Amino acid sequence: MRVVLIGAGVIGLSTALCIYERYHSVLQPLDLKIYADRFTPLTTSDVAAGLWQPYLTGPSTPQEMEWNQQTFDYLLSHIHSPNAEKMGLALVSGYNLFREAVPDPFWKDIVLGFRKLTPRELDMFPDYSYGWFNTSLIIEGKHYLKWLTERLTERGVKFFQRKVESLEEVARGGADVIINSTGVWAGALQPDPLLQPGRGQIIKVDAPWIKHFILTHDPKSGIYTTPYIIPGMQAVTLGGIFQLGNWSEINSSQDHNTIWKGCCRLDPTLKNARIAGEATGFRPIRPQMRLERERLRVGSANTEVIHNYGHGGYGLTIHWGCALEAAKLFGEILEEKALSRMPPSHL
Amino acid sequence: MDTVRIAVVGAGVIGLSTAVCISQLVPRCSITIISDKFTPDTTSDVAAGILIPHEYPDTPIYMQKRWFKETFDHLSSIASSAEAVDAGVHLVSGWQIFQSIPTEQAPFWADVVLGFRKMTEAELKKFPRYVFGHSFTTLKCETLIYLPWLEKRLKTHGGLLLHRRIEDLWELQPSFDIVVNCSGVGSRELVGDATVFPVRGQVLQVQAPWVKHFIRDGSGLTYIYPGASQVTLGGTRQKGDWNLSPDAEISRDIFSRCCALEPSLCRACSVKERVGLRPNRPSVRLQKEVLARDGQRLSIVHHYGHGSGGISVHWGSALEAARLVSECAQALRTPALTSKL
Repeated sequence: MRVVLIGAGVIGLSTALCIYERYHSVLQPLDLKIYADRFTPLTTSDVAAGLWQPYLTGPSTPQEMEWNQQTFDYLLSHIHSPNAEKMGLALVSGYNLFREAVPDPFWKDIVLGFRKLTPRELDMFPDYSYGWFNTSLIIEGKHYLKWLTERLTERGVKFFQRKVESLEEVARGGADVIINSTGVWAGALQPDPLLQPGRGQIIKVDAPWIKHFILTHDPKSGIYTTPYIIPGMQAVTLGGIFQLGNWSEINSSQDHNTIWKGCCRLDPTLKNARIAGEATGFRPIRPQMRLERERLRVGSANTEVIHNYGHGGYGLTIHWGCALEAAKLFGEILEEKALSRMPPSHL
Repeated sequence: MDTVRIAVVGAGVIGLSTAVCISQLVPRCSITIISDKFTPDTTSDVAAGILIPHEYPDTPIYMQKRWFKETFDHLSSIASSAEAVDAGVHLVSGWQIFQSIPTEQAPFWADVVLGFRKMTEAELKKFPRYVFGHSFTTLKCETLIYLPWLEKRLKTHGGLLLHRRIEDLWELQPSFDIVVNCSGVGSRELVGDATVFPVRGQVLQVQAPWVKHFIRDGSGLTYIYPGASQVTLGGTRQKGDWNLSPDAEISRDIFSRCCALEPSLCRACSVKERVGLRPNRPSVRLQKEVLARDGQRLSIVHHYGHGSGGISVHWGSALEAARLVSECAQALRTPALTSKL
């Protein structure tokens, strides 16, 4: 069984690991290759701050709700392990701030210790009048992708630096199953008018005294458009940029100023922080993520495709649940192939 | 009397903060800090500086609460100001956990810290051997940064720092009019107070920047306090032990106890061992005294004995001490009154 997975961000690597773990003993041999033109630290996942938090408005489907929960539970189970730091995993608590009262989010019972902010806590944020406090997780892209790569390499999965032009090209190369985890660039493999870049820019600073995340929200302007401060394994990520349809990968000085001003207003101690880096990434925005099978007819053969892309700004947050689902779809493919190979009398 | 000459003996958090409070409260005074140890060699420098009060059996609770609140409010405004980083003050959240349910559901300081509540079942799962806990947000005051910041404030107001070991408070007569004794555990010898004794604490200071929460065992013996430049792991409570050299066996034990609470710490590096002698006393001594010899007088204000809770109450306690110093200064400035005594 020859499996090619395209895309080496968090979705690709976690899907690969999930499929390998589940089926490598069943499929002898399982030939799993990963093709990507970008690897860590150059993927979209590497730009993300890595805070586990879904959107405030509900998930598109009850399935997504489950996938978010599965991801949180999976990561939380690793928090107690000595490997947590290597995985880029740590508990972090913090604040979600609003200018007016809002309903509780659907994920309030997934995170730990969710509660409303007290008046004295709100005093710390003069521009905001309502908010939440909870304990969540950081799953930092750079560390996590490196860790996933090591796990996959140990298991004999091979990585290839390649710019794939089409799914057909990979099918013609001999793949039985293709997993498409190309994120925001999926449209290049197969047109998808629903997929758009949600450009984000972030500044990384050294501010080790900051122990909490602070996320601000303005329902009128939309998610990620107002300042946020997220401490990571070492540096702190400052952000607040979301530009739909903008494909510019260059760091914009205007966006830099917007981020800097907004975050310094939110936390004045940032003025003492040393800037350690800056980056731009494209959230793969889609009204709903695409996690489904497709049968591709190439020449006289059929190639099975599992699409797993379009996770917007919550890829790290939902990745493991999606990887499990993709593995389930893979299992269905195997069953169908086994059934089609069995002699008719066994049916 | 024009300028009241004040000497503060001791340059830990108590000495320095008392001096700053005096400079703000007492008009026309000169302040000199005299100590054999300055930061980073004081007891305060070893402390992690987390604001969680220690309970003094003989100091009324309302007073301890007032000192803690004053300290918390004072540091809180620093933490949200541009001075925060220079002063070494920042917020930190975390958990205090218990292996058996404590008799009091909430400590007296529960409404001073932020967001105090009981831990949920899900949160307690992180600590398998623990059955109860508190979750809250408090402040951390990094003494290695805070003390130099206090020294700078003092010097800006004309305060002097003098490196000298005092064997007898009378040495300061007649150069000074008022002596504020903030000599911590040194008071046992300096003023012959047998009720103050050291409680030896050993800590490890490690690099583990991914640890964002404090974890404190309710007994106070094991704790993890993440700071701006390091994480402090502790600790010990060895009564009557004056030994300032770190013990390797104890270090291993501290590390193992802390890794049990936070397994990722096993990947911490750059370990420094430090020892401090907490100036333990049943109550904080805040008291005026007048020493008289050969017709000469020296006003003393004692301000020591804060045990494990020095940083947690330092500002409120220092304000109180400064008030006592102000009373002494006023008395000295109205000699007509004193001669009637």
